[in-house]
Amino acid sequence: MNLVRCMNGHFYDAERFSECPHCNQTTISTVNQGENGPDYTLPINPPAETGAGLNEIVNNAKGDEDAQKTIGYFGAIPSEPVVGWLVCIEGNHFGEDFRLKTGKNFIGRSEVMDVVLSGDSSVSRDRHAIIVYEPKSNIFLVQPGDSKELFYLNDEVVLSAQKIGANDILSVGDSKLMFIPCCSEKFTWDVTKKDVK
Amino acid sequence: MNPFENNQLYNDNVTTEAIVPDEELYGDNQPDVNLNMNIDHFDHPVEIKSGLSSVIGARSAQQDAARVDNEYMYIENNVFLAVMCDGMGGMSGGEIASNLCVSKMFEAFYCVNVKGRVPSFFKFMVENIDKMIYNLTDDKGRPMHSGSTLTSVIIEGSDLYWVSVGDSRIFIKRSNEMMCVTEDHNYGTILDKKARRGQISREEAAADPERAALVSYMGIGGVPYIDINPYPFPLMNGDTVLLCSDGLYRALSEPEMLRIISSYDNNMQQAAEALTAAAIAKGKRHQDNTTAVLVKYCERVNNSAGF
Repeated sequence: MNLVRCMNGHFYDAERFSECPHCNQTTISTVNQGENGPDYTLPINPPAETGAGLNEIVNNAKGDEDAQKTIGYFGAIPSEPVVGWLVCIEGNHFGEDFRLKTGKNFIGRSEVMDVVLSGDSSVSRDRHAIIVYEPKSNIFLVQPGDSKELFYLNDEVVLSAQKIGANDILSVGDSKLMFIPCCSEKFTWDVTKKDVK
Repeated sequence: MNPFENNQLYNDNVTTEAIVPDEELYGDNQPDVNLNMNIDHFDHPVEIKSGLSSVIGARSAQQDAARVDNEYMYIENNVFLAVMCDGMGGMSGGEIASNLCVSKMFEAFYCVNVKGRVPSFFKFMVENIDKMIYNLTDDKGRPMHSGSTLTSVIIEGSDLYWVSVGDSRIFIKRSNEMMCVTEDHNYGTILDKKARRGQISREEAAADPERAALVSYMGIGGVPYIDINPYPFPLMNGDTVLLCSDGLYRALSEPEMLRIISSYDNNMQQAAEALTAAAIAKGKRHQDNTTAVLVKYCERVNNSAGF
């Protein structure tokens, strides 16, 4: 690359351009690209062909939290500090951890859930189960979601809200999730200490 | 009308240096990208049609800035760039910030080969342009405290990459479906997430007077939130990308924008002008600067008469 500066102060690579590409551009205002004569474009493919909706394709491009961490930038706006985790000890997501936040964490197969068990077909798409962190009393609860499917806490069926503690195991579909709290009697997040820019 | 012509408005040794990623940057940081580019697309010559419209509205100055790559450039290099920025800050601070973002993006784009490393390019440019804007001082040496949103897309072959900092938006239109791929980096988004988790009520979230305050922008001095897609979005013939400032999306609903773009199917310039005209026509008394940039990806049939 041969970085040079033109008479008007623009930098450009002289190996790629014989003259300044900025000077020959129309400047910042309405740029008229216009029509280019007869149009031979292909007919637009119907989106249903691939089976994947636009939403899914966009989400694939965005990747998951781990993909975004590899680049090393902050992804989507996090809502709250982590309060605990679910760790999959049995099932398709074996070894995977899921982060829990204050309030309700919805567990399901769909991508818009908080805890996404996309690989487990026996898990309901929406809200199979809910795990809640209640900050005022500093406790964790599990309760059923809207689906008709059942789930279990330490092999007992959950039909109403119940407290959950360290190393308890949730069975959701074919997956077993172990609960690991971050907040406990020993530690809670003090909101006033948050580093606000 | 180049705001940089008035040399007194900015600090010479800050803004006239080039921001160019060096080769070392593209070391081992690349994610394991699935280069599943659709090979078929390379049999069809590609054409990018674009349009750009920017209007002042009721404000006294235009603080939006935007620019699209020349079609000729794309055919040469197979990589296309579009940038749209919405500036903010008193006096001409916003205008300077947004124009700086646009010009530095293009400057770097023409200096390096971004193929295969677009997300890293975006990240590098965001961090460095942010620093540059943060360091801007006026003719008396005082910090300008100006800022800008940044939205940009790069099309490499048939792959789309985007970046967004701030509350301007990027939409993808495919056939008769339109989707916003960016998140607004303002306090309202944080409030809505709290409401979703049941920490505050939806009414509380909606009523908060600070909803529109930006929590991430170019010039903040260390950008906390950037929207980038690490993996390419595979474009299909006819896909249209819209980059717009909040002046546009606060005035028009998504169905309205979709309808307008669809009715100017092949002329993106007219479509962009129709979008901004419709936003102004809504007649809001304090209509913001309003900018729309449209980029349409088209594949052409290679027939015997050439194209």
